[in-house]
Amino acid sequence: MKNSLAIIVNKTISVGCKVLKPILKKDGSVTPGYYASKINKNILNELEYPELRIGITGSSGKGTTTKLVAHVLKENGYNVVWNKNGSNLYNAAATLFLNNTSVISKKIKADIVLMELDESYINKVFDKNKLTHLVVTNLTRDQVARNGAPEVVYKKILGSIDNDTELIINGDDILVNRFTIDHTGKLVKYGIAKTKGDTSSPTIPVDGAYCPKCGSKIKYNYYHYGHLGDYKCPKCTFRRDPIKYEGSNVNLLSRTLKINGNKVNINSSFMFSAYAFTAAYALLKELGLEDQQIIKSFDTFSSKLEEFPYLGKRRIEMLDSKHENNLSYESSLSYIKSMPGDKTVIIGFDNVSRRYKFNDLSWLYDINFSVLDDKSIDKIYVIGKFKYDIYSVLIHNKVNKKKIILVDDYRNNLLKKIKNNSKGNIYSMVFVDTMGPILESLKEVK
Amino acid sequence: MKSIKILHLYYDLMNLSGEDGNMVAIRDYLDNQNVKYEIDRLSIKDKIDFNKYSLIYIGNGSRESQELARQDILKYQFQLKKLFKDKFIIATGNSFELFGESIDNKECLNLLPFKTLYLKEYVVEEKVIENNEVINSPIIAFVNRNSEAKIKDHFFINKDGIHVNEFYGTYFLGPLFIRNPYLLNRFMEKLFKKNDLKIKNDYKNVDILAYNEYIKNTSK
Repeated sequence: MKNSLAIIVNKTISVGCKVLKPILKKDGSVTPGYYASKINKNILNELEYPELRIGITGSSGKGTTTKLVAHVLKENGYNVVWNKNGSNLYNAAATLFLNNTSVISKKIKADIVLMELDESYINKVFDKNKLTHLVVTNLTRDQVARNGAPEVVYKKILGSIDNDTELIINGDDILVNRFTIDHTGKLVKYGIAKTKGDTSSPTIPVDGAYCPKCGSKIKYNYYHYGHLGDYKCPKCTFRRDPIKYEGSNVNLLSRTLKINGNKVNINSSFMFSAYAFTAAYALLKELGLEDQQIIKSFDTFSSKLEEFPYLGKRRIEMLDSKHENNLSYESSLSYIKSMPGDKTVIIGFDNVSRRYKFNDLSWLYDINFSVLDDKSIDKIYVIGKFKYDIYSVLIHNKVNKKKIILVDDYRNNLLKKIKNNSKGNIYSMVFVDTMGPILESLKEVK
Repeated sequence: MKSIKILHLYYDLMNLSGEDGNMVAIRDYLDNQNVKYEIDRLSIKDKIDFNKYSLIYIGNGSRESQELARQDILKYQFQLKKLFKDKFIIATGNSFELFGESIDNKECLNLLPFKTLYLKEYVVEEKVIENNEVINSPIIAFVNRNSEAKIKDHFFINKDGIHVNEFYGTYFLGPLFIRNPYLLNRFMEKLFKKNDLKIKNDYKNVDILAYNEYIKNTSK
């Protein structure tokens, strides 16, 4: 009775949130689950789940991978319940599951439950009904003030699964590869083969420089970026190989790679996009889908054209500026550099995090900003409350001082200043808190 | 001209919180002063002669990294004991715990009189220390730790860390010298003095602007 009531409350509040969305300015992805959990705090343990319960987690790339997997599964006729808005904490999962649960049978009406999961919440969401499959995309420094070191996150994930969970892990990531030591259930690895952009030494401080099995210094053949690459311990058996699903022939500019002999079109020129497609392929193969089914749906996913705003003829790309995650942040910087033609960059923030009040700036010094010291970068507009801190890190990274413009009030017609004083496409590397005013100023300048 | 030799110890282990920024701050300071210097980055399995260095710096690390460093540094216990009285050492974050008696009951260098215990929860703090005995300006600090050194006296900055002889240990982590240019200046005065060098006063630190802005914003 209690569970039926919780489901009804969840569904009723969800409908209410939907109706009142224009007024509340919230999508109701969390609140219904919050109140349902008040009725029964163990409600998620008492539902009947589908046979396939899939989680996708990691420090970055989990959102794109989840969207891609959901797209392929749906195109191939599966009924998938998944968190399309990316809300991945307990109350969000409760909202989603209960909205798709029968009041009478308590059964979730789906073939597959697919969740992008925060590393710290896997155990809370899938407590009694453990995941059947878990993809781990990578483990990097990520909001250390909230999560602790990557090893802490690793242990949380390990404690959230059991031997019945099949792991699909990124073998290029030495920190993730540690599951090969500790997980005794089924495990397969995916990865990306050597690419043209690889380096022989790391460009930023590398986590996992020592073997998690024997403590010896790890030897790398090459680095894709950060600590991702091809490595092995010179003293014991710990190594990247064997990789069951390997992406190769990566060409980020033409947005293609090969997986298992198939040409795959990916949806962006970021390396993490290549990883997302390889991870999705690995998972879908493990679920039993055929190459043809997967590749065809990959194509329909990638063919959706992104729409960009323009300043005259200059394209504006609002990039994901993931703070406190040095690999994600540096990937965006490298992406900007790799794009053809002259570029103007906007960079900055008013707050470090949306989740807590701390303004820990340590992560700025885990990023190689010298990437921006490139002749194709015309100007770098530095904005926000911490503009002088960014200015410092750029100068310490030997970026040409003459290219850096400190903006006092970015809310006041920033794009007009950019239009008249710089050239090339515009790449915005600002935090979500500063995106709005920039896009607003586009209306004024037009 | 004499070259200043600096050791960045366990650079590939104790680097969790942007600690490379401290070496960048020191490097750029020395470049601006136009002095010759060498920065050696050494770690586990390297053979280290600590006598060669005017300054030794170690940064913050994860619990597992700290444990690897602890096991390694013990082999230098005798060497470090001999030179500890005069050696200029700066240890930020949990790295200074290595110089105490023990961490979670595991043997450490035993050069300083304190034991360290693990905490169940993390202590995360962002603060500005207005009045301190180290410099005449506020110190911007960030703390993120899950251990506690039981220090009774010889605190370094107010009630934080430890200062004995030429050893300076603090739980304040990250790019402390980037964020605190006056603190960097204080330590560089010491380094220059130890090397019979004089600081040129016309040096303009690029980090002063960020420092002033942060102090202004937090005092509102």
